[in-house]
Order: sequence, then C-alpha cells, then structure tokens
Amino acid sequence: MTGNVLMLRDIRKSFDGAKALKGVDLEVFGGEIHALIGENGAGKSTLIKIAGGVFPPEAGAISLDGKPVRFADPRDAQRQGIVVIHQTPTLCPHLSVTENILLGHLPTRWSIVRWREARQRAAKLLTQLGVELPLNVPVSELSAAQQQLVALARALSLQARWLILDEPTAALSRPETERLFAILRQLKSQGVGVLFVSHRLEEVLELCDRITVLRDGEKVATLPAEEAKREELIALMIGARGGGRRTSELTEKQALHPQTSRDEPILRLQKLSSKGAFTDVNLDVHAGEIVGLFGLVGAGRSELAQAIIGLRPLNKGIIRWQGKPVRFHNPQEALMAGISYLPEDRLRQGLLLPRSVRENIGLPNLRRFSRFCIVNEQAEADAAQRQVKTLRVRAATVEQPALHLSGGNQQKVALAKWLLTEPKLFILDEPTHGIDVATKAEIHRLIVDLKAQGKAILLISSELPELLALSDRIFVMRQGRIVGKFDPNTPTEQIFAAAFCGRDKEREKWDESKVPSTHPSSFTRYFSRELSLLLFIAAVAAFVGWRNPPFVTPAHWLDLLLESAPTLIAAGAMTAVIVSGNLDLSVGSLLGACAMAAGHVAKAGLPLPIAILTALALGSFVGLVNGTLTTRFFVPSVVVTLGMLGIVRGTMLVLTKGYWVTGLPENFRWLGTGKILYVPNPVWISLLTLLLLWLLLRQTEWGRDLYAIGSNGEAARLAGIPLRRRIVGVFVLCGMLTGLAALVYTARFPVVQSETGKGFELQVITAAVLGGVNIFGGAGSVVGAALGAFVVAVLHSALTFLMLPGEWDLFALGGLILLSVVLDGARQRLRR
Amino acid sequence: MTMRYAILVGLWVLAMVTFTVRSPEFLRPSNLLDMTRHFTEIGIMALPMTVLLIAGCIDLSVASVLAMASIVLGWTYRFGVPLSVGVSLALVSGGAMGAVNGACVAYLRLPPVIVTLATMALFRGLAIGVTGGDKVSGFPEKFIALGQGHFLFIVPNQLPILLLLAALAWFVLHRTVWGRHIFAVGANETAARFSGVPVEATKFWSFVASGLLAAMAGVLYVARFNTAKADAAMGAELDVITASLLGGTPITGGEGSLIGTFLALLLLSTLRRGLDMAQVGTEQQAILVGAILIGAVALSTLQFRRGAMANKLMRLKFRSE
Repeated sequence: MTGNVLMLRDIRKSFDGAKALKGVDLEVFGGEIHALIGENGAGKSTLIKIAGGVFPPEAGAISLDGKPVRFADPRDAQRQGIVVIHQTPTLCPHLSVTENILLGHLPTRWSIVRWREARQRAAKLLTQLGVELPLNVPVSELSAAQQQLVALARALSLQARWLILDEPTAALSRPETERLFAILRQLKSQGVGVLFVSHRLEEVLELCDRITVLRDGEKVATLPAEEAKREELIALMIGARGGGRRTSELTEKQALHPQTSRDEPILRLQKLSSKGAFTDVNLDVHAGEIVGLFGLVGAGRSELAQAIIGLRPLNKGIIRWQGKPVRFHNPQEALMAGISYLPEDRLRQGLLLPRSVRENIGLPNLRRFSRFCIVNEQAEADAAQRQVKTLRVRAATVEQPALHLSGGNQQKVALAKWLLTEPKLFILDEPTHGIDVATKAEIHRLIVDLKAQGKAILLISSELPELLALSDRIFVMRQGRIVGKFDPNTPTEQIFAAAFCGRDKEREKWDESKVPSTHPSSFTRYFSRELSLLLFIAAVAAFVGWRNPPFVTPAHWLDLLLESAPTLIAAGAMTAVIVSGNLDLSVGSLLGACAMAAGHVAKAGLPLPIAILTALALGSFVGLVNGTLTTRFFVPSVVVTLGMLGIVRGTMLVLTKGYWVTGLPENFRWLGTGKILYVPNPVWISLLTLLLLWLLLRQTEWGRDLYAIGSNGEAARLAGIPLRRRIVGVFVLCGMLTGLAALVYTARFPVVQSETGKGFELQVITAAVLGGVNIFGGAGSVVGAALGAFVVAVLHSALTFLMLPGEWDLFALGGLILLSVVLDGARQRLRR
Repeated sequence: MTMRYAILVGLWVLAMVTFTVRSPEFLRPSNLLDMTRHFTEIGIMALPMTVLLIAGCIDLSVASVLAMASIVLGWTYRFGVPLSVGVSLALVSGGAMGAVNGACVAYLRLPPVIVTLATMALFRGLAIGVTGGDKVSGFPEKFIALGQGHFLFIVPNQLPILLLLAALAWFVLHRTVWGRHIFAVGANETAARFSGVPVEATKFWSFVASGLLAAMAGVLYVARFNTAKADAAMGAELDVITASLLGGTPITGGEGSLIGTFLALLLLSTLRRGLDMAQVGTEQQAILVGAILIGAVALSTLQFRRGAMANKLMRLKFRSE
C-alpha cells in the first residue's frame, strides 16, 4: 500500500484576485478514507475541482504514486484513476442503469453490444457494492441515493484508484448513508483511496481514517480520526475568531444592537411548509432587526426565501406580512409589497451578464423610472450612477456589461439593484459568498446601515462568524426544519452543533417524501406509445372500413405500405438525428435532389448500381456538410439545415434548369415497381432498412453513443464518446438514407418532377414526434417513428376514403405534430 | 455592433455597384423604390422576429400566418363583408395565431422551434383547406393602391408604413419597460424572473405581436398582387430569419438590434432585386440566402467563442457549479 498515494503540494488558486487556495498540501493514500472538512468558502470545492481536473492550479504540483501528473480535463483525470462523484452525479437520465454504469465501454463483439454480458457485468459490480438495482430502468426514475450508487458502480467499472465524493450524504437518508459507508469501507479494503468531503462531523468521525481541515484557503491541520473530537474539529474550522463575537470593524454596530422593538413583527411565518423543501417553519422578523438564518447548503433556506416571494408553491401555513395574511404568486407582487430577495447565485439568478450595469440595476425598478411604460433612461442612469458610487462598485461606466466586472463588484451590482427597490424587508441569501475580504467588510457595513434605517433583514448565510457579528437573533435550519433559535451571544459551538449534527426521527419522515413512487412496469414504459399508435390505426381502420369497406382490404394496406416506404426510411433516419439532440430540416430538398440525380444517371443509360450509388453518395455528401457545419462551426443544426434546405433545392434547380426527367428506363423503375414474393420492392427495402436501423440504434455501440450524447452531452464526453464524430456520422447516415428514400420514391413513377420532396421534411418530423421520439434528444425508438410514419399514411388515405378533400392534408399534419408535442409535454409535467 | 453595421453597409454598396455595372437600369430611383415593396412585407415580419430572437425564441410560422391572414381578408371580401372589417378580421386572426404559438411556448413550455414548425404547417394547411386552391382577386382600386400605388410620384405607398412600424418597434424595444423585459428574458430567464419580470407574459405577447404584424404583411401582400391565395409568400420565413440573424442578433438571444436587422434587410432585398433583374428564379436565390444564413450564424458564434467574453463565461460557469 505504500507508494500508492495521491499527493497535492502547495496548491494555489485565485479568482479575480480573491485567493481561494493559498498553498494547500493534501495526501490521500490508497486504502484510506480521508475527510476534507471546512466552512463554506474554505476552499474545499476548489481543491477537489483541481484534483479532478476541472481546472489547473496556478501553482503547485499534483503527483500520483510519486510521479508528477497534469490533467487536461476531468476525463484525463479519470483515465489516470481519479473519479469525482458529485452530489448530483453526471449521468445520462434517459439511459438504463446498465448503460450508465458501463457508458463508453459497453462489452461488444464486432461493435454489436452484448447486452447479456453487459447486464451481467453491471449486476456483478452492483453486487460488489452489495446493492440491488433494477438494471433496465432509466436512471431518471431512480432516487438521488440510487443514482449515487450507479455513479459508484461506474467508478468501480472504470477501475478508479481514487474516489472523491463531494457531500455524498446530503441527499441520503440514514439507512442509505449506512449502506454507502459500508461500501466505502469495502472499497478501502480493496486499496481504493477515498477523499470524503462532508459537513456532517459525526459521519466524518464515524467513517474516516484521517481528517484534513481547511480554513480560508489554507490547511489548518491533518489529524487521525480516532484522536479527533467534535469540539476540536469545530474549533479548527472556525479558528481563533470562534467562541465570541469580535469582528473588529463591526464594533460600532454593538451600540445599535439591543433596541429591537417588540411590537408586531413585519413578517411572520406560521407552520409554513413546501413539499420536499421545508416543513412547519415558524419565523418572525421585526422592522429594524437583522434575523440570521444559519444552516448547511441544502437545508432548505433558499427554498424558504423563494417560497416567501412566490417562486415556489406552498403546501400549508400562513405568511403574515405587516399583520395581514398574504400569498405572493410571483416576485412582482412581493416587490410591490416591499419584499426584495437577493438570490444566492448572482451569475444564474442575480444578473443579466451580457447587459450593462445600468440595465441590471434598473430591471426591478423599471416602474419607478418609467411613465406610461416609457423608460426614462436618464433618470435610470443617474440612479445607477448614485448606487455605483455609494456602494463603490468598480466599473468604468454604468454602461459596462456586468460580465466584465469582478465577482465582488458583480455582487455589489446585484445588491444595488434590489436595494434600489427600497424594500421594507430585504432577504439576503449568502450576500458575501465567494468575494474578497475588503468587499465583504463593505457589505457587512451596508447591512448594518440598512438596519439603522429601520429595515427588516433576513440574512441567510453559511458563515457563522458573519451571522454572529450582524444578527440580533439566529435561527438554525437543518433538513428543512427550524431546529434552534439562538441569541448571538450563544457559544459558537452550540449553534454549530445544531446545524451540523444530530439525527432526529423527523428526518426519516422527511426522507420518505423524497423516495419516488413505484416504477411503472417496463411494459408500459416501452410499449405505451407503440401500442397506442397501433390502437389508433385499428380504430381508424374500423371506422373507415365501416363507412367504406374497400379500406380494409389487404391489397389496400399493401398499397399504404408501398406509399409510405420513403417516409418510413427517412423517419427512421430522422429518429437517429433527433435522438442525438439535433434536427434535420433539409431532408425534403435532399430527397428531391437525390431523386433528380439518380434519374439523370439512369436516363443516361448507366447501369442501376451506378444510379443507386449516385443517390446515396449525394445524400451522404450533403449530410457531411450538415454535420461538419454543426460540429465545427457551432451553428445549431436547425439553422444549418434550414439554410441547406434552400441551398440544396436551389442548386438542384440551377443545374437542371427546372426541367423534369421523363422516360426513366425500365431497369431503374424495377426498383420501385418490381415485386419479390408478391410484395413490392420498396416495401422490402424500407422494412429491411428499418430493421437495420433498429439494430444500429438498439444494439450497436455507435447507436447507444447517440442516445448518450442526446441525453447528457457532458456525461457522454466524460465517458470518452467522440461527440463530434458521432454527430457528423449521424448526419451522414440521415443524408444517405434520404438518398435511399429518394430512390424508392422516384422509381415508382416514370418521371422525376422538380417539385419532388417539397414538404417531405414535415412528414418525417411529424412521424418521429408522433412516434414518441423525444424532441430534446436522448430517447425514442425506430419502431415508434416507423409507426408514426405509417399513421400519417393511414390518415391521409382515410381522409380520401371519407371523401374529404386532400387539401386538408397539411393541416392534419401540422395538427398532429402540435397535438403530440402538447400531449408529451403534459405527460412529462404529470410525471413530475 | 458598429463593426457589424459597417460590414453590412459595405456589402450593400458592393452589391449596388455590381448590379449597376451589370445593368445601369438598376440605379434608377423608381427601380430602387419599387424594390422596397417586397422588402416591406419581409421587413414588417422581421421586426417582431428580431424581438423574438432577442427573447431567445423563434417563429417559423410567419409566412403561413401571412397566407392565412390574406385568406381571411380575401374570403370575407368575397362574401361581401366591408373591406375595413375584413382587414380588421385579418389582423385579429393574425394575433390569434400568434397567441396559439405564444401559449404553447410560454405557458406549456414547449420548444419554439417545434411549436412553430407545427403551426407553420397548421396555418398554411388551414389556408389551403379553406380555399381548396381557389383565389380571390378583383379588390377595389383604392385598396390595391395601398400595394401598387405611389405618393409623391415615386415613393411606394407601403414604404412609410414599414418606416413607421420600424420606428415604433425600435421605440418599444429600446425605450419601454416591455423592451427591457424582452432583453432580460433572453439574457437570463431565471434572473429576469427573480427580478420581477413577467417572463411568460413577455414571451406570449411577443408571439402575439409576431402574428399581428405577419397579418399586416398579409394585407399588404394582397394589395400588392390584388390576389388572396393560400400559397402566398411560401418560404418567406427564411428571408425573415436570415435578416434578423445577419443583422447581428445572436441565435442565443439576449442581445440584438433592429438597426442591424434593417441594414441586413436592405442588403438582402438589393441582392434579391438584382438577381430578379438578372432573371434568376426565386428558388435559385435560396442558395444565396441559405448560405448567408449559415455564414452569418457561423461567423458570430466563432467570433463569440474566440472572444474573451466566452472564456470568461466558461470560467464563471465552472466556478458557480
């Protein structure tokens, strides 16, 4: 076991001048479980990102078993044996447990996936972990704990030598946690080194061999777990300043402190609950008071704040605002009433990064700067300028985009924007997270000033010293409940302990609400769409057959198959494209172009194979162009193929001068009119193609890669799937099969019209969407799409048999797409 | 942005010179002004398209809405409804079609590309179904003058309408609360919501505006050709979207300008007119338009990726995770 070590030496990293890591050393031996603890902002996540290859350190070295290494990206780190598992693991939600475990290295023979072996291997890995999971269920249907187990099994399959777990127990119930610990201990006995990042000291003490404590970007200590005590660890985490309240710049605040008015609170929450986030929260805030809300990330604090301003549904409880019970339905109403919320994540929730500082500050205040909805930009700029000045935001002008500011200044802009709304209650969610010390002090002073102005403040923070120095009262939240109410003179350890430790029975109850209900049986999952389409076809056949019997003769249905052959082929190809998360609008034009090209070649008297090759080659070429533009020039495939739609048809018309090809030779037409075993050739060709496509998507590694890419591109990249090559490949496939569809289509008629294929793309996309192919990628089957294509043909023919004029075809097609996306959307929402 | 404007103007001058050298007729003022007739319809639709792209959406159904609105106008006229009522009905129908798109995107949270692809077929199909391939013509002189007549001897009647609408759209986008909301929704939907922007309503009404203005383009189309028919303006959405994207509005939203769209429109129409005069068919011209579309988006994404902005955004992304 000696020599088997992951070593980080003198690691340094800073963001926008704020030092996140100031020379940290860490070593994790094989066969040990090493805990990494520290307050929020201590540098834990930066350190594991460096160890996992997300970004390189500014200075310092990483070595494995004594050899210096460098990680180009997370995948590189993975290859060298380091696997990071996040709280919400990077998995492909649409794919099965088996596939997620073995993503990127499914067992194959001649690139055909051997499912039986794959399942056996996945089952073996899961048995190694001592757990049982349904192998064929998509991981999106698993609970958070189960997803984590999948990620662990995946790490095993990658033969990880070092595992980094980032707060793995945050979402787990106690039994699940115990199971995880058993697994980790077992891995340890197999020689795996585990770095365990957690906030829960009791778990750390229970599980780990050694503990490293970080504080303010520095390593404070590494000590063996058996020697460590909880109190000692807390003292190490909070450092010398712990124990009392003595933040120097804030002494002036003491004077203002005790005179909190004991009149009616401005905000009072009574038994407020929101499902899956928090339960029975009682809390009150008075004017001129700072109420601190302490707790770990994920304790339900932000969710509580968002529920108050109407961004989250409430199940029960009462919000009393200025004495009256209220419910805000959206942030506008809360703003109008005088409640502002500074969100936790300034980049995602706080700011419009590409817009100017002025516009950012103006956004929640537009009502004030406008008259009859016309914005007075001068007034807005003046106000923004004033705010920038008071808060000392470092920006060249207020017209500078928020993107170019440093983190601290961005946070000031976010503060400025909500301050300007002049709220009566200001909810601040981690207002000093990730910013430099100087700015932090400024923001603290600002909060004290606001209190002096008589505003009520609810301050959410994970930094206890900050809360101790500023708050009049501190509430502690854990697992969605208020677990304590403290005076700021309470010893730090006591507050800390309330937030970090302890298990209660309530928690088990809370966990239960998170466990998903029973899984739908695999039958309904895989066959519901196909079955309902078949039933629909049967219903249409019965109805139309009753009105007009010839509709149900076998000859007619063979005709229907013959007519839908090109759509069947193209719908199958389109399925592959959509599954990979793309769309091809150019298939209609391409069908026309390929038909024309093949027609000309055939008419020139060249043999049939040459004509076939011409169509396939032209299709593949256009597909290659589509794919290359999409992957190399980063143009969304919708735009590329919309442009190609015009380019392909235009070029075809220029080359043919708009003339039709007439008098196609018999040998070419055999392709469309000939029969084998009484069944027309196009039917054979289309069914054979569909079978091959089904095999390709379902049974080959190449096909499974497409699903992974469409389901979660990041996970696919991490698993080593060559994204660009696969996407180019799928476009080439789609183009080539469009060429085949063109042959099948055109060989049935003696002429090729220049109009061939107009609107074909619409039919094909309708077929795919109707067949249940997920328009966002990641899910869908060739069988479904083929049935969808057949439904389109059946409906078309039914309209004719019912003597309805054919002019309504397009309308029906559009209606079908719209209907099926609306229904799909509704179904997805119901499931959630 | 100024760089983009300069390039567009430069290309436009180049196109003007080329076409004039080929045929001096091209530079005749009446020719140039006539060019704006086609340009007006595309332009009226490009205004709300730019707005939608800024808000992070897209509307592929505009040309179909145009056709359907023209059918409403034509058929009400055929059945003796006064023309003013017919025009109002056409506009209302356009707004309603936009509302269908808007409701699906904003309230049902469906992807705009698929929704409007579906309604592109749906509305065009409705027009074809209602008319059964029939046309209506023989509108009163006064109405046709809207699309074919001049004022001040050479200025086409519809040009001031476009200019007026463009000015109005510019004002709404850059000077009103609603315009701010559009930019906010496109730049960061979550942050907009947290800041009290009514995200759903903003998207919904943008789609309604798109439908309404496409219907107005439909009315002008009928007046210009003295015909209401179901296959009006087939494929015009390509020009409309190309103009907006070429004008510098990124496909990802959050930024963009109507001035850019207007300049891009000028360039596209000049190219179209020049090719028309050189007897190149409409569908053949699609080669050029399609290439411009792809090129415009490729250039701006490449520019974006290479720029410092992209690096910074990427880094921020990683850190906030």
